[in-house]
Amino acid sequence: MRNRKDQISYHIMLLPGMVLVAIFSLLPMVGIVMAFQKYMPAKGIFGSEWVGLKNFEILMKYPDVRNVIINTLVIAIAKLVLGIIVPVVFAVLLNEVRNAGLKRTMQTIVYLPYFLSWVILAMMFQNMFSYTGMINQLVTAFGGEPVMYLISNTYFRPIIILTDVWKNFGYSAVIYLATITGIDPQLYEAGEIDGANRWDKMIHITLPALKGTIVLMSTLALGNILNAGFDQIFNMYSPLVYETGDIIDTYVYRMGLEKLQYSMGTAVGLFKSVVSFVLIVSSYKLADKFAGYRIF
Amino acid sequence: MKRAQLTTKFLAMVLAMLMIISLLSACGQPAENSSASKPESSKSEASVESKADSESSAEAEPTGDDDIWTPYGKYAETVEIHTAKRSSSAPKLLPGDTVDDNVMTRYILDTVNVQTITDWEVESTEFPNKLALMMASGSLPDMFTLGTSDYLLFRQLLDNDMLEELGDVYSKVLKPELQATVESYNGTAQEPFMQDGKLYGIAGGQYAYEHNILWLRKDWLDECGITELPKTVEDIEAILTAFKEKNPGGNNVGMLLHYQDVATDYNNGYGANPLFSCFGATPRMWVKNADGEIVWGSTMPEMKEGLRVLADWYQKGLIDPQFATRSALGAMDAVITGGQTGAFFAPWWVTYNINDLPANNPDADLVPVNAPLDSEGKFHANGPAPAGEVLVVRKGYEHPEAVAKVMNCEFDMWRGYKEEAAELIRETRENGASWTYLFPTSGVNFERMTVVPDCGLLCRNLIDKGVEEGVEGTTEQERIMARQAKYYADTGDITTGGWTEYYGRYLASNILATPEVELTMPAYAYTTDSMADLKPNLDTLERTTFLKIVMGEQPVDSFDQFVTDWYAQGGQTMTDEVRALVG
Repeated sequence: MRNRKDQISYHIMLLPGMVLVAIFSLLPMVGIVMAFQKYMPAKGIFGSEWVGLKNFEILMKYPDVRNVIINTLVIAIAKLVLGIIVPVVFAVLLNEVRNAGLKRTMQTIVYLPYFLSWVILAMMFQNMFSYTGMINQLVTAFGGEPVMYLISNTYFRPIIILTDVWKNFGYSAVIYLATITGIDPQLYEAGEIDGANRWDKMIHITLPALKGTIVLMSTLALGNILNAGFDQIFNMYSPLVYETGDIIDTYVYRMGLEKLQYSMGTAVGLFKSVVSFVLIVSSYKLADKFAGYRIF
Repeated sequence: MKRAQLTTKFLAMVLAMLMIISLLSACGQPAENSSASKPESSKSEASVESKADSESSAEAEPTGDDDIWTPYGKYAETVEIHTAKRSSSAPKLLPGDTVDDNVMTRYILDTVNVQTITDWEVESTEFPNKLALMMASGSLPDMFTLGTSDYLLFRQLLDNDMLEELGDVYSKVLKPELQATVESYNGTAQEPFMQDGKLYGIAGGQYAYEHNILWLRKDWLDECGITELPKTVEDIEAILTAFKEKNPGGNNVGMLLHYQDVATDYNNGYGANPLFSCFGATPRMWVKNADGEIVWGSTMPEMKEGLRVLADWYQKGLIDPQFATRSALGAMDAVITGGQTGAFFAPWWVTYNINDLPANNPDADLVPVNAPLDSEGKFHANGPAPAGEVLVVRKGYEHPEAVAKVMNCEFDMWRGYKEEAAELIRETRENGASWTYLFPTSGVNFERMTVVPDCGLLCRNLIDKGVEEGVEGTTEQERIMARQAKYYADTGDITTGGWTEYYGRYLASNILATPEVELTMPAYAYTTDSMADLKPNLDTLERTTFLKIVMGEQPVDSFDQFVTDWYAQGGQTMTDEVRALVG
């Protein structure tokens, strides 16, 4: 045993954080019981009638639920995968740009949309993809038929995924660029002596050096696997694309908050958390097994 | 992603600290400032005072105090009422005035010695949620207004004994003019808010005639050489076709339709309800069908005809091709104000939403029409649900009668029952303050059942005959609007509210209650036990099916499948429940 007194001071330093976690993360967990109740605001959590798994039964009866889960997974996974590939490629390529001014300008420009709210961006994209918008004007200029992209079940998902990647890749790219800057220049010099050209250096030095960061970023991103992006979809969807665009969060919002169905909303939320938990644990194990990477 | 998490954590920390601080500070408060202790102390003071005043009334309960239980009985000690508000994005109060200190609250304080305190205000869409939270935590405001769609909350409050009985408050303290307003509904307005013969709310009632009618651009009709207003579906189609071919405004997109509800709920604009009603369907309402059975109107077989017409029009390009994408706030209104459409279905009040039209298109002239008519020349429309907005009082509030006094004062000012009161509020009113925000009661929509056509008649008398003559009970508020309409009729000045009143009240309100109009009243208008769970999902099904049929993604005949699905996915349960309740 080490010096206990020494450890106590650390524990005291930890205490405020733990209290906050208890108040804001653990205590609200009590609310989960609403999922097993017919919750009535007037009776409160402790007075409402218990209904067991009835809410989940009703939930499974909704024909939309399967669709909603599939949409969530497809959109979230696509965002996750592209959200790794695009910034890595961009960072590696940008790193090859010689002109420092150009490099910095590029970096700032792609970083910019990250700071804009989806409410604003959704408006922008609605305009761009509208029947008489920019995209359709291009399409008709080349002799095509105008399409209403945002209410088309063919285009809605790709638009959601691509616009999200566009908005966020600048931020991840900055992190990758920072990692690249930290690579020991001696490695590149050694490579050059061994006759490596720029392509070889990129493949054999830059990318392997990025591996750790990529795994870290992906594992962190996995925590959000079922968060397919409420802000974005809520501001861009409409009833016609519920089929391909309705995700768990928007569904919970429509069913739960808008119509005061707290029990149903909690049931869906709990369901989502359980699925997320399983996914996170298994992907964490996978990351450990295949990349030897652990956060904890 | 990491950045987002850090930001969230940081925000959470800041919030956490703020909340701890506020918790700490709140802990110190109850002793001097909570709502629980103050009224009690003032009450005891009051009773001490009355003891000193006269020996005889010392024993009397407050209910026995004749002076307090009158419309303007002034309290000796200031009585506080805590309230909650649906906030307005632009309150437009006079400089220096606040929600709790403005010309109306000061008048109330002077007249009856009641001070209103707004505990919290949220946007109307968030109001039911916030209220539910307050219900659960047992900290309801003393008085609050429930909206037309919050009836379920009212039932919950009542079932859990959280509301004060208001029968005496209504009959003894609410002034006769306001009682007359409630009586104009022949009891239907109050019935939903009664239990075992006792009244639990001051009901505003939901007035009739807020159904969708057809609006056309008169200047476009003239330009296309169409002199006759449409009567049938074919007439309307001919007009839409002419609009499409001649394109009078230069950028006509076709008829406007609601972006997600092909047929809208009562009092919601841009749904093509008349088109369904003329074939005998009554969408978005529980009604008795021809066999006398109660059904959900949107599943009636007659709906198919309306959908067929709309799908046909859409396919011919007569309906705005991108209507389904106009989901942003005000996007549908903008199609009208931008001069992009010459035809739409909306209630008479739509002119309030589209009052930018004359500024953008100086030539614009609208004409409201009762069309399409059925084969017998009748125009069918949905009637209102009996439950409108209602003002309720928290159980255990010491001065429920004060609520009615506040209401008396509010309407004395707004409707001009008392001249000096009306004079006081003139400046705030002309500044454009919204009455729903100004009223401490949050503005229960409190009008006679027939106020819309009544006011229309007043406008017509004033403009056509020059006499300011309305039905009995006409209020100052209605006269002000009629004068605005007259001002526009005389001058054509679009900078005041006259344009809105002229088209909405002088023109539209006068065709709402004509003999050709037949209202269908809902057979059931509340929420059954399972409806809360099942209906949101069924509404989505209805919405998407209708949209897809109109836009040609599904054949019209898929309506039959929709009806089967609707019953299978819970519609049968709901229907059985409604039939059991109403019989």
